[in-house]
Amino acid sequence: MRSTYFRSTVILLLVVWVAHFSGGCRTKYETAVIIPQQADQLNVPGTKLLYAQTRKACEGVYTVSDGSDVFGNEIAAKWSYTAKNGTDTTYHLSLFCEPRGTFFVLEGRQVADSLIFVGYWRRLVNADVGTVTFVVQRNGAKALLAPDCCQALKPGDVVFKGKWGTANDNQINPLTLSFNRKLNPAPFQIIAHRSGGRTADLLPASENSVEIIRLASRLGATGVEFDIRQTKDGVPILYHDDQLNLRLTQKSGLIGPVENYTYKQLTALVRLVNGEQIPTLEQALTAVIDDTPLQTVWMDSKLIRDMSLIREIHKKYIAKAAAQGRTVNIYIGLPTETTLNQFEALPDHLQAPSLCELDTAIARRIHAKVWAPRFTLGDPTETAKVIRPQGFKVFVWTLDVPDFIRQFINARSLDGILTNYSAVVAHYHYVQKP
Amino acid sequence: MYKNRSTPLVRRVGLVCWLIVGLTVSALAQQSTAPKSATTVTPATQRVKKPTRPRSNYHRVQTFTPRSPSYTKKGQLRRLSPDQLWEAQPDSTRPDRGPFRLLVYAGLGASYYSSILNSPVDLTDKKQLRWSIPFSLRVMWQTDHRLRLGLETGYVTMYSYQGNRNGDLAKVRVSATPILAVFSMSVVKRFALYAGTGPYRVNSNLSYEGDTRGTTYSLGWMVAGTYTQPLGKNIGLAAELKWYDATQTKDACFVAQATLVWRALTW
Amino acid sequence: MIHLRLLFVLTLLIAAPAWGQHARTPRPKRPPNPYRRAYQKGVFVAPDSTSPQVPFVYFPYSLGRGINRATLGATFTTSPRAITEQTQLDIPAVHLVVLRGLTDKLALTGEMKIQLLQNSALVGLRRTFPIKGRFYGSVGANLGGWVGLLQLADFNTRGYGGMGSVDAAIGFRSSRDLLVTFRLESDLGLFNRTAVGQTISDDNRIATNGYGATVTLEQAFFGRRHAAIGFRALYTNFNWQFWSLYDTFDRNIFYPEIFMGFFL
Repeated sequence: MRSTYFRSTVILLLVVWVAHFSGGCRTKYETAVIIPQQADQLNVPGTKLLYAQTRKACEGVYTVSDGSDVFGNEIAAKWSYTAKNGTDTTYHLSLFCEPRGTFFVLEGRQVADSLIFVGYWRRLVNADVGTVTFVVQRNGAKALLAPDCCQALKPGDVVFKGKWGTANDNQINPLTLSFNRKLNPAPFQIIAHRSGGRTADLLPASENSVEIIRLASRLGATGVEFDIRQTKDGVPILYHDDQLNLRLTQKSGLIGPVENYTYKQLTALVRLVNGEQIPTLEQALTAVIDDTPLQTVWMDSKLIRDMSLIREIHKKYIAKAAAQGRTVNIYIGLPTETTLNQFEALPDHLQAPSLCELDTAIARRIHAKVWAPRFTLGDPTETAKVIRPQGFKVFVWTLDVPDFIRQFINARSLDGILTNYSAVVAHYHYVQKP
Repeated sequence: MYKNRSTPLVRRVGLVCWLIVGLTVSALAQQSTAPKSATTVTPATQRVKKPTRPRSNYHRVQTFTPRSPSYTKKGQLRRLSPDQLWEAQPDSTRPDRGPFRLLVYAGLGASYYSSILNSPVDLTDKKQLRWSIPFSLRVMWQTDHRLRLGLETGYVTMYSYQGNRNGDLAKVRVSATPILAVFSMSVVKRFALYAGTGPYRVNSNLSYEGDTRGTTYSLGWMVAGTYTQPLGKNIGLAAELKWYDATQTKDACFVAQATLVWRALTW
Repeated sequence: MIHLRLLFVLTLLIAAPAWGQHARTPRPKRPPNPYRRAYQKGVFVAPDSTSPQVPFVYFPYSLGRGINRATLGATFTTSPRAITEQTQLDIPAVHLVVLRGLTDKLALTGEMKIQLLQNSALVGLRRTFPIKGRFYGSVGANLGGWVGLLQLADFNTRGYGGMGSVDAAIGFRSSRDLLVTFRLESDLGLFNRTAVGQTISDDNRIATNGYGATVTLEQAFFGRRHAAIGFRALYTNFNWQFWSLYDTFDRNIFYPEIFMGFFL
């Protein structure tokens, strides 16, 4: 009798396991996470756009009271903007949390004597997503809306009272943020990998697209890295992989190296996974300068045939940024000996801002502005101590593990981190006390 | 659009059902004509069909008689000497193994592309073709036990489409050559199942603003079922239903083909 | 039109086997042999009618006390594209599986995967029981760990961790000396410590890493050699073989594994 029970239990267990498997094999992680929409509470009569000083004053490190078990104890809040066609500008308040690469993207309005913020949250490490609404009332709002506001907000001066929900639930969970201190003002570059993030992170825009460049600063980035290749007819484009494949593009029947196809063939028949066109280098640089507040561009030379053409475009867009009064550092990335040789063949290579992933001796030889070692070599503190005083910046790539990010930032020996998780780097950098 | 999987899924399920029904019909057709006395013990003398030219010891050793049970009359386990057991029946632990055979399969038939096929851009006067005539070549090592090992290759046009884009005609054709390690198992007499894995060499041909060819390798798998009807001593004809799946390029097709089976080598 | 033609061809192909069945005299079947292989520790004993005649390490059948079985072979895992993207890493591992009978129903299990730069080992217990007819079952639990050291080219990393698993298996003994085993497992991550240079990252959460399903065939191979071949579908959040890729996804990823082992 006992053995019958035993066997039945085992068989039942197996059935449950099989059921779990059949439920587990979902395609949930194959397509971009859909950002849940909520009723438009911002663009209704009686709401006003926020003043620049109000926006500025909202930035800071906030202590989380309700909801700290889900979003961590401290949150960093930072504004960014996206300009459409160089004119129509939208401002977003991003909140960066510690656990699991969680970030919020909010838009804010003034309603009478209160402030309202509406948006979504997302965890980068998985597909968790939801909506959120914050209201700043009474004294907090008064402090932010005062004409002389924002000189010296004290802890607790501004309180964001919010409710958050998941993709399926309504906003029933409380989340309260209380102003604690200003953001860490130390200069530091948070450079988003593949123009903003990987396709595998299921972002709403494809990697190395113009759309994700516009998204990058909302994710916490202050700069972007993108990958340059040249088409059969020599047009420099943004594309990472050696081949046209389903990781990056929709099924079109075109396969093989992207260099085998002309730009016209690619634009006519190929679309990136989220439907965008493969952008040219010029389109990407235009988007960075015209549409975003990004300060750093790392042009990683994946497979270049004509380095002088890349250098011409490089010069053109450095001049364009300067003409607009923008501070945008555009670097030609040199990951291999081959690209290094091509770069050194340029007559003006010593004047061209470059980023060297190779040895520090090579970085010195070519007068690179940045030396960028791979993170798997370990914390480059000792080397950085030597070369930073010589005028080099040190960026580390591609660092995604939160534990390592925290320790690398706390070592204070870097000028920037290249990451797929800008939100995580942003959190650890901004909450760091000077 | 691209993410809408329902229609191709239904189509795929339909084809799998078709495969199952087809194979069941094959199996039933064989079952219905099989002798009902298949389990009856036939005397050993009748059973042994002496080969004209024995190449292994497989047919020589036949000392086993079904009248010797495992147990004694007292119900105790009968102890046999190693030699007695050794002589009992050829099996896979014996040194005189066999027979082994090398089988060559050459197939020709029809294929239907069963994966999602949607051009990511809008084309005017769009035409798609999912059907093609594939051929395959397979070499199997038939052992004296259940599992067989082999290699399979061939050629199948997965799909092609054409349409006008920006005023010019664009034509795309995608084909694949599987290079698969195949395992096979005989389930019922003459009926075998195959499963294999390995790379597919996927080729594309684009005709738009010039001709461009592309090639990539995609890991994938296949499953197949065959029913083989002997035609001669070393020749047979098999009906084969097959599923090719190049996973990384998400190309899959259903294949039905007539396969010539040639017993090329016996030892 | 071509569709109709192909449909016709398909129908013919499917119906073809029915032809000519009556024309042939069916071949008589061999009677079943009660002395199917009994090959244990090089000493032959007359088998009872239910014992498997093939040596086994996966099949859930009791092994006599003190009897050892082991297979040595290789495991092939392909790297998931979600992590390695366009790069495909297929690093085979030497795979050693050991089974030692403790009592009639209890056996000690051991498994090692060796890739030199990274290795893992699991030790466990399993209890077997007959289900019905030719079906047998087992439940087991394993405990072990992994260790890796990658200090070449652009890598200066090392790591180690503890892991465990529980599993349940159903085995089917076919009449033709073939043992089929279907096993489901749940993998547990106990802790992981990895380091790049002097920077250390600890993960001390005890959590379910994922699930796996394995199908194994144990049978004769060539000569007097027996072999176990199998396929394992692992759906997990952490696979020790890819620790150095520092995957940060908090989601289960599919890892297919093919393994083949020869009985020693």
